[in-house]
Parts: sequence; C-alpha cells; structure tokens
Amino acid sequence: MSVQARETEPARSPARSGGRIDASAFASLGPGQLRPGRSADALGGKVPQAVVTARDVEQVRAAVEEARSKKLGVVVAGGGTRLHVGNVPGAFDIKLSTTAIGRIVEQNPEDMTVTCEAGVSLHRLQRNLARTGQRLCIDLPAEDRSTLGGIVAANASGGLRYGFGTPRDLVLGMSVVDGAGRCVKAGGRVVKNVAGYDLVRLFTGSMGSLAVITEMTLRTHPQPDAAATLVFDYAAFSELDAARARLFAAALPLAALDFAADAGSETVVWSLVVRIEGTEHEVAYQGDRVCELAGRDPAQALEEWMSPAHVDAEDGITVRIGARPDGLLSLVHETLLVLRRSGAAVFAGGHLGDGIARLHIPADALTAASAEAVLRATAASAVATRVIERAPSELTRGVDVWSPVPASLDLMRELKRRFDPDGVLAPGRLVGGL
Amino acid sequence: MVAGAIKKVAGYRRGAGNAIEDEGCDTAVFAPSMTLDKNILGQLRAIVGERGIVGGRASLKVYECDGYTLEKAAPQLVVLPETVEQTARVVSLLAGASIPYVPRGAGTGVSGGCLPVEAPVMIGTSRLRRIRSIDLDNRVAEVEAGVVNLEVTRAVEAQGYYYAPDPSSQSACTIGGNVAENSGGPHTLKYGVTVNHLLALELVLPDGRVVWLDRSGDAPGYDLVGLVTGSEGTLGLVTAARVRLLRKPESVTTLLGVFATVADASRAVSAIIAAGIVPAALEMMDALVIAAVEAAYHFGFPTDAGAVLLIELDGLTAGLDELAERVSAACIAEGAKEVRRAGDEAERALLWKSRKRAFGAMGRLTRSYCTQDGVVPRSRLPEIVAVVADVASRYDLRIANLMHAGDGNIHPLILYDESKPGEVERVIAAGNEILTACLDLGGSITGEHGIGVEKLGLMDTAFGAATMAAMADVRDAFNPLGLCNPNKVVPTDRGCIEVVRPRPRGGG
Repeated sequence: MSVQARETEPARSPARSGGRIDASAFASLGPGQLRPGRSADALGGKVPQAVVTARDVEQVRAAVEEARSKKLGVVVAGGGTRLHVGNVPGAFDIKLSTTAIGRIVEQNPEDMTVTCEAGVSLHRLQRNLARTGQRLCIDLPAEDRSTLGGIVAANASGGLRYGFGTPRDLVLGMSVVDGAGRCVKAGGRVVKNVAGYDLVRLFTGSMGSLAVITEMTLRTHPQPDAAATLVFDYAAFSELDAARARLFAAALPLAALDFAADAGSETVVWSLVVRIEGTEHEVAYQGDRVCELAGRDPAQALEEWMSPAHVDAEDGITVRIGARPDGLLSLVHETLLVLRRSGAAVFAGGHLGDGIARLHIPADALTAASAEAVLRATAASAVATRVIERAPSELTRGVDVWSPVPASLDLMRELKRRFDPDGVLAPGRLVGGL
Repeated sequence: MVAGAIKKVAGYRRGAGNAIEDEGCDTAVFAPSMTLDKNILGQLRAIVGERGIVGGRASLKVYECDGYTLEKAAPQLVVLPETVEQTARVVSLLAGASIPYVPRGAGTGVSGGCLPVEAPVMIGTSRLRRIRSIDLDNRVAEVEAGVVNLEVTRAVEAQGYYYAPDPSSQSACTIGGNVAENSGGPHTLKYGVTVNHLLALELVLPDGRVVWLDRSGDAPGYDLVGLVTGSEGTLGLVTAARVRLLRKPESVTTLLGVFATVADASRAVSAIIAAGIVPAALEMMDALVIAAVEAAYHFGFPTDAGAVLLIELDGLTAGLDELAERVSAACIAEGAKEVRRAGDEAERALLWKSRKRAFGAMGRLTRSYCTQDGVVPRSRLPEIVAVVADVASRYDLRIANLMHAGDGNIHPLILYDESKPGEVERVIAAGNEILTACLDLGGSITGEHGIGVEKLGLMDTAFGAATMAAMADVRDAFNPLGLCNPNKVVPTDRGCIEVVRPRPRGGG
C-alpha cells in the first residue's frame, strides 16, 4: 500500500471568533446540567467555558444552536474513555455530555435488535441483554464508563470484530442532531435496509464531527452456550506469525484472533489469544483444532474474555497501526526491536485478522528517544494507517495524530461543510483538520 | 426478466417540463429529446473505440430497462469503457458538456436504478471485467466493476474460499451493480450484505477524477466506502472494489420445513432465532411459489403445503447435527408437518436452485409479475403476511410470497396481465400499500432492491424532511451538478435547482 504517513502536517483548525456563552440560551437546563469547565475537562490544555449535560434531544439541539450563533467549538463526550483520541480541537467552548440521555428504549430479542440512547453504558446494556440470552458483540474495557454513543461515534471495537465486525457492521439506525441543528433519523430498526443513502455509516466513526448521536438501534447476537479463551506463548514472533497464518486460513468460525507482545523485561513474550464460542461440543472440537494449528498446548485456558489489544493506562504513549494482516507482526516486531534499543519497555497487542495493533510505552519508560523512535518506526510506508491515540501534548503539537490523509479528503470536507456548516462540532479533531 | 412492456417513458414522469421552464435555473436542463452532439459522439468513440459504442434503436432496446419493467426508457447511446482511465475520460467529457449519464452493470436490478431518466448516455461496466488480484494470504480480491458476482467465488473456490454476498441473480449480476445496490441474498442473515464485505472502492467521481476510498486498517476519516455502497450509482461510478473473501465452512446442511400455513412457518422463524441459533439462511416460500418451482424443477416439494422454510446451517461438522436437531424441534413445536434434511450435496444444490430461480419459475403462473421488496422486524412477519393477503383480495390480484424470513425481508410477487385494462395501476397501488404497511410495522420500503425510480415517491413518507435534506447534502457533496444518474434516490421534483444548478464548492 503506497501510503505516506505525514508526520508534520498541522491540523487545519478553523479560526474562532471566541464568543461567550449566553447562559440564557440554556434556560431549559435544570440544576447540575450546566457548570463551568474545569481543568479536568481540558483537551490539549484547552479548558471549555461550560460543560452541558443534556437530558434530551431538544437540549442537544439548543447547545448546537447556541454554538452556531456564537461560533463556538463543541466536543461531545460520553463516558470520556476515548476523548484522548483526536487532534486538539481548534476551539473547545462547550463540552456536551450525553451521559444523561440514558434510556434503553426497546429490547427485541426475537428481532435480535436493541434500541438505546447515547448515554447508556456498555455494561448496563450488556446486563439487560443478558436477561434474554443476548449480547452486543462489542468488547471494550471500562464497560461501566463507555457509552454506546461514544463507542459508535468512535467506531470502537475489540477482538470480537473478527467474528462479528465493528460498530459499522452492528449499528442499524440512529437519531442524531447534526451540526446544522437538524434532527436526522438514519437507517431504521430492521437488520436489512437500503432505503436512501447509508447515513448510519457516515456518522458511525465520525468522532462527533458531523453530528451528535442521541439514539441508536443495534444488532444483537445470542449468548453462546459455551466459550473459551486460549492463550499460547511463543519465544519468537515468527512462530506466532506462522500459527496466525494457519489459523487465519482455517475453516474455523473463531470469535477473536488477537495477539499480545510483552517487551517489558529481558525477553519479548509473544502470545496468541484466541476466543472460541459455540455449543459445548463445538467448543471442545474447536479447542483441539486451535491447539493443533497453534502447534502447542495453551499456556492458559480461560472462560472469560478480554482482548489484549486494549491499553488501560491513562498516560504514556499509545499508537494504533493498521497493516495488511500478513505483514502486521513483522512490523510490530521491527518496531519493538528499535524501541528496545532505545531502552523502552513496550507492550503491544492487536487484532491479527484485521491487521490492527496498538503499541504502548508506559509513562515511566517514556523518554524523548523512545517517543521519537515509536513515531518514526510507525511512520514507515509499510504502515497503512497510524493513529497516535495518546501522547504527551508536546509530542503532538502541530502534528496530525491521524494518518494518512485520505485521498478523498476533499469529499470529506465537503460533507463536513454541509453537515456542520459553521464548523462547530469537534473542529479540527479529525484527520486533515476535519 | 419479465416479458410485458408496459409503458414507455420518454422523460421522467414527475414534472420534467416544469423544471425546464422554472425560473431561477442558471443552467439549462438537458432535455430528454435533445440529440447528442456529433462532436461529443466522435470524442466518445475516440475514447472507447467502435466496440465500446452501442447505438441504434434495435441494439438499445436491451438497455431500456432492468428487472423492473413497469417503466422503460432507452438511452440514446451506451458507452462501454474497458478501463478505469477510459471511464474517467468519458465521465470528464460528459461533465464538461453538462450531459447527464446513468451507470449500468448487468441490468439485473429490480427497481429501475439504471433506467435513464433525463440522461441520454448510459455508461455500462460490462467490459471492466478483470480480476486484478487475489491475495489469499490476506483474504482479499481486487475486482473490476463488471466482474460477475459468481466469478469471484469461482476464482477462489478451489482453494476453499468464497465471496459471501449471493443475490439470486449471482450468475449474471456484477460486483459494480452489487455495490451500487448494496445487494443481499439468502445468506445475509449470518454473513451480512455487500457493504460488510468491502474494504475499498475505486470511484470515478462525477467530475471525472478517480479516487480510491479505503476503509482498511481502520483508516482515519469518514466511512465513504459505507456511504457510497448502496447509493445506486448517484455518487459516482464504481470501477473496482477490494472485497473480503471468506473461508468456506467445514460443513453445510439444509433443512426443509413443511408447514400448513404461512403463519405457522413465521412462528417457527421466531422460535429458531429465540433458541439462539443464527442459521446461514432462513427462507420462506408460500404455496404459489412452491407450485411454480415444483412445476419447473420437480424437487418434490409437497404441493399441498401452505409454506416451506428453507433453513441452511453451516459451521463446524462437530456441531451441525445438534443444531439441525434443535432447528427441527423448533419447527415441529410450531406445527411443522414434516422436516426434511437434504440427503446429499446434489439434493442441497437442487433445493437452492429451486429457491434462487423461483423468480424465473413464476413465469409458469403468470404473464408478468412485479417483485416487491420490503422489510419488517422479524417478529412482525405474521402481521405483514396478513396485510399482503388482505391487499391481494382487495385489489383482486394474486400475490405469491418469497421471503428472506430470517431478515424480515419480504418479496411479494404480484402477478398480473398488462393486457387487462387498469391492472398495472392496481399492481402499483397494491405494492405501495404493502410498503406503507412495512413502514407502519417499523420496517423499511426496501431491504435489498433499492429505491431506483420505483420507490422515489415513497422516500418522503419513509423519512422526514430533515433526513431527506441530509441525503440531498450527501448527493450534492459528491455529485453537485446532478449529472450522475439524475432523479434517483433523492427526489428532485421540488424544483429545478436540485437537478441542475451548479453549487458553489469549497469555502463556506
């Protein structure tokens, strides 16, 4: 893939008029719904003027309209678990929280769908779905804080994407308030629908830069009868890569095919982490086949599942890369080699079937040399995509954390201009200043 | 697909004339009667060669409709480019001359998506036929728009792989058309529709530029692959796609559940899902369809059945018998008269042949038929089936029911004879009533066939004004002059400006 990661292109953020918020615009807000911004709300050092916790669509619309009239920057926040991802907003005047828009509207186990509002946490939704033997196949850490609105806005996914896809494959419909203040209903509540343009996919993953998601309908799946997580350890990445190729080519309906690399000590430990699900019989059979293809007995066999591709730490540096599945591990390996030479302890984990990995240097191991090394190694042309998900702000100043700039950036800008004509939603947060 | 020419539409039925006369237009509307400039014709010929030009009334007749035959209109000229470069030059030329055009794949669509409406030129993708690359190590193939759906699977099946979306017309329909319509098929219940299997698209924009839209590796920015898929060729002309290939499952088995009534079969569908089973396919055929396919293929369907369910299970050999037993038990519990399991691959193949060619078999029952396409939440199937029966009796029409029942996607086939006065009008009215009922039940006016020209008039009912405005924004962002497949997806009969006024680009 001939994509150049652009290191130094600065985010193109719209100029700001610096208008002040008029509290009377929020007259409908009750106690506790409007407060001044604090340093804990800051993004890249910018503290918002106000934090608005909307309770319904009308309040979301009022906030968007206030921002439009004063040319203010609005960043939408759910549980705040992914707010560190993205460029520093060109303007950050209103932090608009959707956490209080939190009804589970309708559960339809027979239709395998659920409709919920943006502020519902993943944990709460899963708990409710479990009562009817169902689940949402999105696995993420901090389930109690992650909201569905935030997850869908970020198209956030875990290892189960191998078996079930990302939110883009699971969201069937949504209600949004776009940057023009329009209440748009996209998609529907049925699993198959090709009426009109697929606005659902446009908004999913748009990082709150086109619209504020208020409600969505998602596809659910049955809970499996049985499941297991098998972890296999390898001393060399090449052994793991060979096992990956065998499993990727096998006719096994794996739920997840992840890896982890711990370069925290003298030697690197490579692990293959496989999730299998099905009937008891199927899980037993698959377990045997997976061991055979992995070429060894598992170091661990667990009932629960947690993808090793997530980074819990709220400091240090975290970089997400995308590459062809067959080139991902050698790329991670080379990066780890470089970083170990600079003396940094590094963790890596990712989704082997989709060619996605995260590299993380913890804060206590982060040096100027190791930070530069990880950015340089992942800027190589072999990397299809790179997102600097978390880094000390001095490292990303003037750098677009998203790369590459897509060939279709002008089309994206045109969409942004039409859905957010005043540039108030997450200004400059996304790639290329979107 | 269907004989029966109904009516010829020279231009678009909704107020094309008004648009031309309306004041405020700052560009002339390309009138349908206008003949193509000789100079343009010469330049097109120079780009694609003599073999790439189809003209003349007899040859153009092939292109006057797709599988939706209630409306017909032949283009003045069909251009068949052989490469993406040629396609881009053709589009540039037409854009420069403000000539509207319509893209076309194999013409197997069923909503008139490639009907030329105020578009004198048709750009066919039938010569864009190369499979550019197959990369089994990464389970990806890059194929051009004119490659036939089934050819992708044929190219990789010896190695144990396949391309999952399998519309009934898969031996004729093309990947480009599949992308335009976001095509489904019987196996979408478990494996999803076209958009779930796409990594990247090569798109010739309406201004003639070629751009790759790439979502692989969680690429930053908006999901334009998702947005363009299903846009019915109104956002640009897709010339190639990078598609995901799947590994063939270890085992497949197909069951046939026989029921006395459609209602019993519908309840069995819900019972199977409620048991936590996601079959690869879950199809329903009612008595009329059974009679037609039995006459055509002699599978041995019980002709006294009110409905049959075709249930396919795939996955590990280890689990299949157990799943089949559970499905069988669910069917029996809901009143199935009998549940058969295909004995071998030949029997399974015949079952699927019967199902996939059911449309064709309908010709044995009727002179013409209209295939409707609507969706309801799966649990509302019994209600919509009752609506269809009621509509049939009130409009005095025979309606056969074919359903992707697992998806809640119904295909009522409305049988008619166009030689009977007023029958076509009744077919259209009956179809609209069924679709409106789908909306009332929380569903959609199309699950896989698209809006085309057929359902344009229902869009406002299906979506409110704000959503329609948002969709118009999407079209205008890609296709600001409206030259690429005009008058589709988003109604443009609100005045001329949406069709022809060049919008300012960039800035704010």
